[in-house]
Amino acid sequence: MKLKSERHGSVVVLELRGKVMGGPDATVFRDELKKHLDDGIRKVVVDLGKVDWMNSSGLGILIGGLTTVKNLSGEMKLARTTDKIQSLLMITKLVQVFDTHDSVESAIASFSE
Amino acid sequence: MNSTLTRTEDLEQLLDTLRTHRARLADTGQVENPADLAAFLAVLDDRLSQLVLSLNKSLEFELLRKTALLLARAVEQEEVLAAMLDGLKQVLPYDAGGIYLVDSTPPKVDSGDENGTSAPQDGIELSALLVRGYDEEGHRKFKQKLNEGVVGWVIANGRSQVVDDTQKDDRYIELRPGTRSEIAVPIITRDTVIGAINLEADRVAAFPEESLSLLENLSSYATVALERARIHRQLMEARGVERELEIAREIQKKLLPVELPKLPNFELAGLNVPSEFVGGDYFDFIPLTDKDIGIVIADVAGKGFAAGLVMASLRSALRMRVETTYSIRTVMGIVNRFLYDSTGPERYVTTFYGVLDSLTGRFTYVNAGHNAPFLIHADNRVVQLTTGGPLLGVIREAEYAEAIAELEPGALLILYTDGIAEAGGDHGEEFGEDRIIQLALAHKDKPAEEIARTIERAAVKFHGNASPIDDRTVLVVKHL
Repeated sequence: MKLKSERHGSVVVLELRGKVMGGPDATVFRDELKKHLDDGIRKVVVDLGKVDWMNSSGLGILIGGLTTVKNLSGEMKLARTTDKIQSLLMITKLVQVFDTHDSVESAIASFSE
Repeated sequence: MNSTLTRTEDLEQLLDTLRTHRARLADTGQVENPADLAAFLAVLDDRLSQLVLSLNKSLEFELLRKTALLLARAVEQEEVLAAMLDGLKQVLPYDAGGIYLVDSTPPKVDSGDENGTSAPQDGIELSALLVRGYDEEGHRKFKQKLNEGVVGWVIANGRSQVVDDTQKDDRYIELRPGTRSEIAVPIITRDTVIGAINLEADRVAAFPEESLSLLENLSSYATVALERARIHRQLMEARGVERELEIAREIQKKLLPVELPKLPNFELAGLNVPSEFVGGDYFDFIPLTDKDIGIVIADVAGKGFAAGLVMASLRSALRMRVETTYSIRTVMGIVNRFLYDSTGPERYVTTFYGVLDSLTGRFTYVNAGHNAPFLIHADNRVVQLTTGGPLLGVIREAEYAEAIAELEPGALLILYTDGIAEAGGDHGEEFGEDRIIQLALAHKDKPAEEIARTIERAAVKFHGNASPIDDRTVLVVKHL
């Protein structure tokens, strides 16, 4: 998994690439997310458009992220979920838990001011 | 009626009737219709008994939850066991108790430690790991008699015992004056008895049969605590992450059922192949009544030791709740909160749980975020069992729905974990659901065991050698 982050005002966009499979990937994601939360950022978009594959452990990364952000009264949205990720969300019935968007722009625009 | 928990509305109605009877009695000074009153008192007796039972169950549940919490925090084995034994006193009052271990190696005698002792006899060597309520004299005797008596019997036979009156049981050896009743359950790993939990009380029949299930649940936690410590010692030489995974694998192995229950007209198969590096699959067949059986398949997120603990918690919570609660969607809701509270939202489990009535083929199930099992009907129609709710342990307030499926003669139920469905996915195409269905259809007439094996082998072959493969679990339920 590769991870890139970019700030858009008060929003951070975390872009995941490649295969997301838990284990070391989870630590990388958690550390990066923490860095932004420590800076006071509370609006997070996870861009999944370039994820080749994700298994259920990879999904755990997203669940962990959502929990962390929510505990700090922040919001985390998913952008460009692939078919595989959508199917994982369906199987685990977490579709309603995550706010998903077709584009990074619409995810950013959806944050309440 | 007995299996349903008393609802508040029922109680309010009961209270209304009670007040009516009372008012009538106060007005007239006599019982107008004795038969009516007698019938009401019978209902009252029944409901109050149920209420007492469910209150006791809540206390038991709380003890299990606290123990799971301690285990999850990876506290020292002694601390976990001490909390267990002391907490037990609130729920199941006893006057003396202890946790005993089978020593395969000659015991070390710790100087000044009154707990470290043994008495080799008949090939079994026991040591008292932790004791409460024995005076020095009693304990000195205990040192010599440890593997005799009821505890010795329980360990030798691997079966729990309730002794209502110690004076009427030939196996009982007096080690403590005053003891009149006793309860003992073995601590069992996959195939061996490694110890026992024993409680004694000064009154006759202090331990009802029902308390066995609580003790047996606690005993499975004791297994985890003891195995962790034992394997840790054994693997002291090994380094790094290897050791952690080894421990998880061992614990997982010990929690899976050794023998599948036998049901008339049904054939069951359960196949679990742990991977080299993960270790989070779990399944169980829980006999509920002569005809009903609970079927569980689950996948714990993450790897290593923590996954093993979540699995132990799930097993215990599920086994405990299915015995006492009627509706399985309620069971799921409770287990979900239990996992959320005892492990935190970073740990989650996808779980499918169903109850099969082997007389009618009726299968009531809840799917908590698990890969949907396939029900292949006798006429080859394929249905996926999806009804339920989110995976367990993430959303505390989650609600679960249940559904009913019919397994008519000739029907086949295939349950699996993502290790099967996602095989190959990390470096290419996924094995996927369609291949599972095709294989099941093609081998429908083969024995359940063979169908499970065929699907697992095909997934492994499909995955190839390009990368390590996940845990694989396949359960097959076949209506003959």
